[in-house]
Amino acid sequence: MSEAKVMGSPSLSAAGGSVPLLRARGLRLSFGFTEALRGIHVDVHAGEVMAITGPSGSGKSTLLHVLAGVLVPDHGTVEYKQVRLTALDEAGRSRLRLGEFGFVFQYGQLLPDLSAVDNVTIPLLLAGTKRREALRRAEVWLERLGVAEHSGKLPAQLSGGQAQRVAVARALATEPAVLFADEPTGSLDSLAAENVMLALTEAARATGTTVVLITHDPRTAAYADRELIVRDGQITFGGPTG
Amino acid sequence: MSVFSLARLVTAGDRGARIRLAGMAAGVAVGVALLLLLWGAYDALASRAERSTWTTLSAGVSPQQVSDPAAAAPSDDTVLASSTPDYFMGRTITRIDVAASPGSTVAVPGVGRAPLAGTYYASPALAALIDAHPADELGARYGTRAGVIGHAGLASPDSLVVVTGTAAGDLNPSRGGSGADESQFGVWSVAGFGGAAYPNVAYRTVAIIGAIAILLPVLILVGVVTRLGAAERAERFATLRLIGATPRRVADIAAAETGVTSLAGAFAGALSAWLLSPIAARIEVGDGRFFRTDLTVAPFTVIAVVAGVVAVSTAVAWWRTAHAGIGPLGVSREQSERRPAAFAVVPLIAGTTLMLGVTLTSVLGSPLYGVEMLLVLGFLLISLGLVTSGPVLTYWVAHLAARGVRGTAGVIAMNRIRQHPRATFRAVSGLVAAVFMVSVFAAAVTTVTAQSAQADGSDRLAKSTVLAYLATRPTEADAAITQASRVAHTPGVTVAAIGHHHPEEGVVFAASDAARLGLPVPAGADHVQVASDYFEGGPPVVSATAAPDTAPAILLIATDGTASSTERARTAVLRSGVRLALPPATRTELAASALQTTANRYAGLTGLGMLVATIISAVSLAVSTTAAILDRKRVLGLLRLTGMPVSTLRRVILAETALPLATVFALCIGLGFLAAWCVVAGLTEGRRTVSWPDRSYFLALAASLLLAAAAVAGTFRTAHKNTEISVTRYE
Amino acid sequence: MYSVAVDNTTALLGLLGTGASHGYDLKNSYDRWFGMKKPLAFGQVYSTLTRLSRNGWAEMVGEEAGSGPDRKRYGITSAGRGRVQEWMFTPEVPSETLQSNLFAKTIIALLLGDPAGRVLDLQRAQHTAQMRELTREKKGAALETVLTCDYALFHIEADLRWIDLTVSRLSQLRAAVAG
Ligand SMILES: Nc1ncnc2c1ncn2[C@@H]1O[C@H](COP(=O)(O)OP(=O)(O)OP(=O)(O)O)[C@@H](O)[C@H]1O
Ligand SMILES: [Mg+2]
Repeated sequence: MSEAKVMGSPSLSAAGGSVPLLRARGLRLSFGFTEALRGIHVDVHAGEVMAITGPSGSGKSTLLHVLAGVLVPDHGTVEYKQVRLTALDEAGRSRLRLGEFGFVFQYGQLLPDLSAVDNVTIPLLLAGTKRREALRRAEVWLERLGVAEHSGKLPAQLSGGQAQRVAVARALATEPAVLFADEPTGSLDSLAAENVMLALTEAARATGTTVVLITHDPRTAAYADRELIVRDGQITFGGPTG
Repeated sequence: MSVFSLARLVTAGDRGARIRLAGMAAGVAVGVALLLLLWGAYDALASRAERSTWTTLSAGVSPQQVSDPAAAAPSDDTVLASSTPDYFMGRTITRIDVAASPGSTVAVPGVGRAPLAGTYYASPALAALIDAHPADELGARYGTRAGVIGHAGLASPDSLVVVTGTAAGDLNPSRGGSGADESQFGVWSVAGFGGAAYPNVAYRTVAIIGAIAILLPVLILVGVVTRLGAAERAERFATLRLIGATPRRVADIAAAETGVTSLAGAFAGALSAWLLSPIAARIEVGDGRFFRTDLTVAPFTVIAVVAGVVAVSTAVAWWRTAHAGIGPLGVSREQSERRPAAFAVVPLIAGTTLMLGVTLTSVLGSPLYGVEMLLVLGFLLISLGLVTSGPVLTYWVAHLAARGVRGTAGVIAMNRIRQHPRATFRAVSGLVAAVFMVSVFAAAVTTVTAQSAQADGSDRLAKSTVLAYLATRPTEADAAITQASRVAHTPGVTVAAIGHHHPEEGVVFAASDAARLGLPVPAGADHVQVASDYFEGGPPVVSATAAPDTAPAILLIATDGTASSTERARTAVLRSGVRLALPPATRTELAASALQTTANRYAGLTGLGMLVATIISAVSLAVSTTAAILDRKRVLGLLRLTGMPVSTLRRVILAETALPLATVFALCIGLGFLAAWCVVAGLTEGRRTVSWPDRSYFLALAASLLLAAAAVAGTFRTAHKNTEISVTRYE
Repeated sequence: MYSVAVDNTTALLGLLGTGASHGYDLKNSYDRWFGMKKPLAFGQVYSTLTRLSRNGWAEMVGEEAGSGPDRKRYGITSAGRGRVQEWMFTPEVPSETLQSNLFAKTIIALLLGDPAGRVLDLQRAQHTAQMRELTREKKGAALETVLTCDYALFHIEADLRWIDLTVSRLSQLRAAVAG
């Protein structure tokens, strides 16, 4: 009846001794009068899959963007591999995002005019890979995510689940250190969501990619190693369980 | 619910939609305003040509050339007149000498009854010039002023025209001009003066082609702005389809929206055209500025233009929406454009073949019937063909290029073009049309300015020396010498020497005169022969010769080189009574007048046309480039979020503009020159041709490319702002 | 049928935590929150109070004139308070009795002014831990196992949804409890 451990300070208890890959302290961010983040501490450890859940409008996306160096918090710091993201300029953060991070969103992130495989080559080309090599690697990633047969199709010719898997392939193609995913299964049914999540976690674990994942869906969150609950811009619960 | 209230419902409250509609209305307004102003200008060119060409006496009522005016006294219903050019400080004055009977009923345009002998009527601009200078430089040439020529006899407020009254006996039948159109010189008896809008059908053709040239970019602009935000609109329409609207109903809504918007825009455009006409009238075209009334378009025309623009844009919006296949799934399932078909290049090939064929048969001496209309048709086909074949060519090139590109921007841009060849080409189509038109005009104008006065040099005839070619009769030879010596006493004149015809070639001067004129005189010669080429600016070829027994051929008046002295010398010659064959003029004035034709009038407008076409096309380019970015706002925003640098975004925009432009750029220039040659050579049966355009053409090309670059650079900011992280909805 | 499953001993002790009370008032209070389907019998109230006193969790704090058990006022001891806290913050293993017990814990927490949200979060963590376990089990398993796990997952998910919804309605519920 009472096997579950009662957790103390949620975000700090996860530290487990090792230095976290991403470390955020005292994050505060307001949009006008809306306080989206109200003093958040987070640690993300290398190789883990962390889910962020919480009610709509609670600040999950905002937190993700702050962690990824997309938004700059009003207060607080984010350190990635002991480098302060919050002290870098936009160009520096852009470079970091391009080199170290991958992103998957809920929908509509594929360039409509490019075939699936061309879409996957985009971040590789941005990173300076030769076109031929980029195409080869893109095919490998499509294969790994089980959508190789659709590589020549345009996004409009793909199902939602296929398009999401192409998006995951694109995000992972550069073998980022951290993959940020905001509702990657948000518009998919149970089975499609399961396929995308399986592919995503398998691929991430295979390359040692750390994953930060926002989701409303408990079954999607169940693919994570631990869960963080955000409410009203604060973390009300988090840390590894089980 | 009516279509209109539905249309309002789907646009009201949505800021993006309102901005889109405002942009559409503004674009239509600019298009309509320019259209009306240019229409007015064309109309004005015709009516002012009609007003100014009454000075071409052969176009008058029952014209008859008179060889002995003293014997052919004017009756009450005919006058004797001669029309000659006169020069002052580099400007050309049209001078009409009229001899009328005291009871004459023949009206002179802008004057009324012909002036009495010894008096004159001057145009306001000339009157001002006369008042601003000493009489011995200008005013004394014409006598006493009797009045000012009215509007009806003038092409432009800037026209320099003088009508002098004279006795029939003083009219000089051997007097000529040096232009190509000899028939208008000499003395004519006319029963009335009349003008023609177009001197001949060739000019009418040129005018029609010019109108097409300016209309095309305007139409492209209207086409571009009415497509603004097509993707965003398609999304809204998809929602309507989803809740049960039929495709027809959606098309009706699109038509209503476009109709109302373009109506508002067209009204605004008509109003601005009216407000801008006084400013437009200040622009000098050909003969000078316009009278404001010339630029005012008839109310019926305004209504027709407004109704036409609204009807066409509404119909096109309806047709486009009905055939866009907007399903309930909307843009997420958006099909890419149909692949452009190869037959779209047919009009281009047909037009080129037609123009070439017509011109070649004409040049080879067996012109087809209706050359003009065939040329206009060919020109229309080429213009249309450039626009229709652009997407095909762009698609082919992008297809080839897509394999070779390396960078991110290249991959994004080439694939965009491959999927949307029409949309991407449409963005540059205005510029393409402008480059084509600019090339046509620039090449056609070379026919007007092909020759220019020869170079100056210390041994050449000074440009300030006045040449008066004489028509002295044998009986008047002695009188001419006295008259010449009188001219020699004019202040500022250094030498006034009479030369006689040489039996074979050139002019014979007394050796002393030649030496004073600065010519190299062979030692011991009494008289020297000077080759004619010298008087046109050529090198002096002087040889000793025998004393002449021929009539005086030329009166050469060297001056101290100031402009006033030249004008004083000219006035003195005109007043001396010496019988002239040509108006006294410097060699540069003579050379210039030889080139002056009515074509100049239209050439002036081409400069304006180029400017307008280029500006419009830059606007269309900016508008469509912005639209292309806004349509992909979300995806590009997300890519920037993942770390794509802004420079890549810029390169995408650049590549999407540069490729279609580069594809057809050389083609436009080539076809432009070809079309110009066809029009010029075809209409003159090969008597005229075109040559390399001058520097201003390359400047114009460079300017249009620069303007295009500026338009694209202007969209960078919008692109940057609209893909910013804060505006991208990323859930 | 759920009310049967409510751990009514601890729930009564929790109610007692809001202040010393007569058995009669205690019964009314219990019925108001947890006895919609099956009110508590008087006898059960007294036997429970006796059992609580024996465990040292409750004690008699006064007796008024007259006769019968209703004259006795009971209060909670500090040991009793500890017991209530322990109960409240121990998540239930996902099961059919869960809803009623969790509901009882939430209400008691609200009545006592304890963080009810935390009660629910702890429960949520218990659920998600089990979901993760099941998800891991599914990986590479035979289809029958996958289907069995799916069945369990959907059931736990239904609980989770109720928890999430209750969290969202907590302020509403707090107002109702206070009123
Ligand atoms: N650009 C913005 N301008 C103003 N307010 C914003 C902006 N972005 C977010 N917010 C506000 O900040 C709060 C947190 O938003 P956020 O997008 O992080 O929520 P979320 O947890 O991701 O919600 P959801 O699950 O619905 O995606 C919300 O109240 C939202 O209205
Ligand atoms: Mg969100």
